[in-house]
Amino acid sequence: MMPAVHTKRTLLQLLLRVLFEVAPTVAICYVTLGFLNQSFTNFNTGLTQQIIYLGAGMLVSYALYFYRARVIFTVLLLAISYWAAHKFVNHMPGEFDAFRAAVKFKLYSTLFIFGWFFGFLLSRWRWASIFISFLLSIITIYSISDTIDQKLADYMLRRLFPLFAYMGYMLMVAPVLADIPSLDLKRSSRLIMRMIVFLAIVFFVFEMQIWDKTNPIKAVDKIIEDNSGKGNNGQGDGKYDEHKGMLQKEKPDKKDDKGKGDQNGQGDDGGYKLKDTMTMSNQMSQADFIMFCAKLKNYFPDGSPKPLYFVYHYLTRFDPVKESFIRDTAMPFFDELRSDPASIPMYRSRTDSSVITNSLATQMRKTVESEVYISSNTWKHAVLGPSGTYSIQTIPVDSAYKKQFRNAYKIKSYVSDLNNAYFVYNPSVNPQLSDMQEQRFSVLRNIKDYAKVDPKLMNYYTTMPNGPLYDSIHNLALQITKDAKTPCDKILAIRDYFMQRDANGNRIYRYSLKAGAPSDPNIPNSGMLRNFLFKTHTGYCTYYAGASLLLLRSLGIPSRFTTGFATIDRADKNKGWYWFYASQAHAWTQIYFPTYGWMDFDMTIGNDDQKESPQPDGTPPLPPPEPWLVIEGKATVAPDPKSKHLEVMFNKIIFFNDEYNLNRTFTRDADASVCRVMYGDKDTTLSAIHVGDSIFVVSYDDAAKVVPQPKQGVKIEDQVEAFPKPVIADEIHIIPKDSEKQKKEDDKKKKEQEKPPLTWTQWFERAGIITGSIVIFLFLLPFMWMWILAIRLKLTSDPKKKAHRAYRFALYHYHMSGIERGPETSFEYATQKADAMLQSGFGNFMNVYFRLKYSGGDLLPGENEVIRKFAGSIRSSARKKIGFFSVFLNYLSLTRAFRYFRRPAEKEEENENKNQHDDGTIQPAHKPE
Amino acid sequence: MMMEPSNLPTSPNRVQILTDNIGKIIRGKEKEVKYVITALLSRGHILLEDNPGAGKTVLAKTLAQSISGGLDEAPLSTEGSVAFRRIQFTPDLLPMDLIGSHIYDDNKKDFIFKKGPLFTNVLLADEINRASPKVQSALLECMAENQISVGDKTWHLDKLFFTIATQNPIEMEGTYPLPAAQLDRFYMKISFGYVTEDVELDIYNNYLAIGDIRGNVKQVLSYHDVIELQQQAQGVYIHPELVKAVVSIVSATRKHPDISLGCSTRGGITFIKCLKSWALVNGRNYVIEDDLRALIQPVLAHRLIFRNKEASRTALVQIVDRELDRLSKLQISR
Repeated sequence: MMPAVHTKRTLLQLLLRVLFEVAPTVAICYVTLGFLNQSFTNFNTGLTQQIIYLGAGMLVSYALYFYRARVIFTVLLLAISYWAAHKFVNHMPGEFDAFRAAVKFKLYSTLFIFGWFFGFLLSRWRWASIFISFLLSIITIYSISDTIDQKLADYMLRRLFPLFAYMGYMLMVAPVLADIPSLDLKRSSRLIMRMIVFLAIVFFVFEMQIWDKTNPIKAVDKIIEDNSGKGNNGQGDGKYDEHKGMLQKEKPDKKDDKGKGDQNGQGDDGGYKLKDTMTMSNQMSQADFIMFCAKLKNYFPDGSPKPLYFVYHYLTRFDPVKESFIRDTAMPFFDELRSDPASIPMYRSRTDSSVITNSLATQMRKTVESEVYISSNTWKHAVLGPSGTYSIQTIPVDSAYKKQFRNAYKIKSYVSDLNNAYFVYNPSVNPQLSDMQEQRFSVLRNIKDYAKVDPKLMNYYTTMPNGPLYDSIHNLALQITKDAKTPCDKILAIRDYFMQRDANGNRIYRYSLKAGAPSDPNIPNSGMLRNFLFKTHTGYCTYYAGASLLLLRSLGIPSRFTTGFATIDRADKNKGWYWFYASQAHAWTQIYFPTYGWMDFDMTIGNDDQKESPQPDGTPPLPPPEPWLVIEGKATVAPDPKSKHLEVMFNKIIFFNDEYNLNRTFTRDADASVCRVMYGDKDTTLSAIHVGDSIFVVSYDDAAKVVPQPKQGVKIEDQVEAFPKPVIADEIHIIPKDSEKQKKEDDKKKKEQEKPPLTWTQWFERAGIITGSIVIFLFLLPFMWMWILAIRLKLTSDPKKKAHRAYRFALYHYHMSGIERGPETSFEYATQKADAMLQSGFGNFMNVYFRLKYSGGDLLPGENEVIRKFAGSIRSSARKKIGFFSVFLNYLSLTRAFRYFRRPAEKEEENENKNQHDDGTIQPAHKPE
Repeated sequence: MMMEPSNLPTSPNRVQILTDNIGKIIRGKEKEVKYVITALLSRGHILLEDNPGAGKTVLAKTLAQSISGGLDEAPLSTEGSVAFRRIQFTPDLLPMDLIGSHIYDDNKKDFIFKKGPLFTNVLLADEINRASPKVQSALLECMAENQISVGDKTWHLDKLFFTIATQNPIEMEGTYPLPAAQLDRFYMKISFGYVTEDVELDIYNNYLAIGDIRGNVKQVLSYHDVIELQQQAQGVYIHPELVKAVVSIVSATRKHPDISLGCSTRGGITFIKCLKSWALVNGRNYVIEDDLRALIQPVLAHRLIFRNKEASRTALVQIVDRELDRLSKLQISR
């Protein structure tokens, strides 16, 4: 049933409307979908495809409704095509991944229908753009509220900016579109004028933004880029390899790929890392492959190696519903090193001394260095090191080991003498070690209570959820530790509790990777904790760590859930070297002792039944020679193929591991005759160095060479002068050109990350401020329009223009001041309503105005005076008769403003009464159809 | 830019005098009186639709009596006013009852034409929809052509020929509704409606005063004044933008989904003529945008066929309001 079409709507009109109205809407939907993709993993199907479906829906419906299709007809069409598509998807040929197709179909059809709906609104409803912007802003806010650990105000502003731009654009363009019934090229000029004005405004806003040093376009670009490539903010998508238990596979970093892909041909930049959330799931299988190896320079006084667990993250918050432990970036005294090793240039270091202060430890502390070699299986962005790692420096991997280890770094950790890897899971095997354990317990027994500890720390790290389960845990804890006095003794009591045996000498608590089914099948992990502690007594590390954590917290001992790798001291050869396999992925508890800091206590019971055969230790990679000098600069003279000399200009060096920014630029000759040249991760030749390339020139501390030693009290520039000429280059790293940009971005990102994360209260505060300011802005709009009109009126001197502006201003101002204009014409309004109340001579003015406008005659003597007088008295008359305060209050009514600005066709209801009076006739010509 | 007659009050004033004069008799119906005068000055005819007893006849009579001069042999005219005739339309009325008939003259031994009541200046065609279509079309032809053809002879009507037709609402029994094509010949169709209670009270109190119309109505204008005013009305200035507005209004009625028969070009021409006269009636020699709103319903509504009752009330106002919105944003040219 198509209605009778009276006008011919041309294709050109449709195209122009699509250009002016639909295209911007699709663009804004694209941006919003981008946010959704970022925030919700079930959108992970490709932004381009999504927007194609949405846009198609919008376009089709817009076109249909443009040609005045009936709603019923189109909805029917839509329903039928949906049904058909649904059938088709369900009967897809077998090779198809039916499930994936179904999921995709759901998403795409939803998007298509949304697009359809938007198209319908746009073609039929004047305020569609406002509605759409409103809806999209809700979606945007909803999707970004997920990511709270960002610099929020900036973030929100950047994300909402495109929406505001869209809203502004539509507000300017939509009324014109609605008012032009037949749009053609000639009439588009009006639209184009408006668009130019709009662009000018946007440009102005941009200038302000640039002046403010934040560029919204870049922000938008970044958002879109982030959508296409996976940001490396550590949020895995959790979809892959669930069965790997504690590990999850991280997707390749596309951004890096772009930079280096052709150079190293190493496609897969992803790798395994530990999950950011630890739950007690019912089954855990462990794959085995090497994750990393490390040399830990930590020894007992007698020189035997003293292993430490390697920490990945602290999961400090407990979610009682899912019974899982969650990483909380808002934890107090944040002492994780926030750095991405993959983004630190070679030989450069990143230090976060706040880790040291936040460790809150003063006694028996020292700095321990370690070298970590990350295997190719492992996610390269992770920092793995002993608890208290505060500094990281990237080092190259010897070419012989390149295949095995993808990157390496040296770390410095602020480590307690009392801390070591030996406890339950990793028992101290020989009597000497046991003595040392006893020694550390005797030191820790000096801690009697937590009275002097910062309450913020205490409150946070002893939080327990409420509920019968947790009460029973508390009772259990009290029962276990009834004889223990000091926290240390309580810890030992809990250890003994887990290790106790029954009358037959069998263990009560057992280690098993298969920990039984969940009690409530709908919530995957519910009841696991209860089962473990009170029923099955069987579980793996997560259970032991979680249970002991809650036991400790219920006793008021601050503790946290820690994920990382258990260090197992297997062999005596290669002292200090430790190998970490995927099966060593582990979870344990860290307990805080005032002045001594956080200690690792691993309560997990060893697996007696199946004593695992120790994984073979590899040969440790050759440690790279210590460089005495790293020059960071640009090649000014390309290497000469014969003499193999090049010249490098620099103002940054690393001299014996200390970084210096020189106060002037040096140019040095470098001898590259015995030199390893690397481009990114890959070996290359000297010919790859071109003038202008950013390079690192590394010179080793070698007995065979003259090496100047750092001198105290001598300015570094003078020392540089004394460096040997030429500098013997042992390694030259060419920095891929793209990665420089990357570096800057990373620096920026790092800076952002260093800012303290927002808490929820702050978030609400800011959200409140933003909403408040939007509301205030809305209420200010009527005033702003009034001021614009008043200023325009004031600035006009030409009487004809002035008359018109006075007319517009008076209509608006009187309406908003309280003399509301209903369906009457402006003349009736002036003579009957306004003059009756204000006696401001509006009617008189209207006579003059209409005469000027429609008589074709010129200004008569005296009329200029009328115009001037009226123009001057518009505001004062309203103020005098209505009262300043009432005018102000009336201006605050948004509905009043809305009634002024809406278009005449919508006055129908108001007209009814008047029409009945005016024209109560029944049309004799009225015939039924 | 307008011709200003020297010996008489300026044209707006003359119209005002006429309006006031009628207003003395017809209370509380200023707007309707203005519509009637507008139709008169446009050289058109008007159709009043209302229940009996609303004052239609009184209005027509008063109008006729306010104008002096006119046809010499007008039988009904009294005290020198223009000829006024009233015809009560009934189902058995024949065309010749209107236009006249040939009768045998004994003296001349010949048939002579006896002019019917149509040969007058102001004609009140009462209850036009009670007569048969044949009679209706006879009247309408005269209104359109301003002449009467009987047999081989054509008789011209007077220069000043103004019909005020009335009809009862269509629901009433025994009526022959006028077809749209014939309604089109009326420049305007208005309804009187009842007056407000205040005015009604005033009418009852002063009933005696207006009871004898003949005695109370002054002749304020001459026949020639009216002819001149009709000429003046044609010269009223209408701004090109307003003509444009009329064009879009007319074309909007054709495109409107709720209107099945749009406005004809004749309707548009009439609209512009009426706009000009209306301006004159309101004391202006130029048309303003408000005139569009004032006239659209009386001038256009009866020419259109609406799909539903709702549309008959709202569609035209919507259309004109959209135009007014556009005009109101228009800068003063030059």
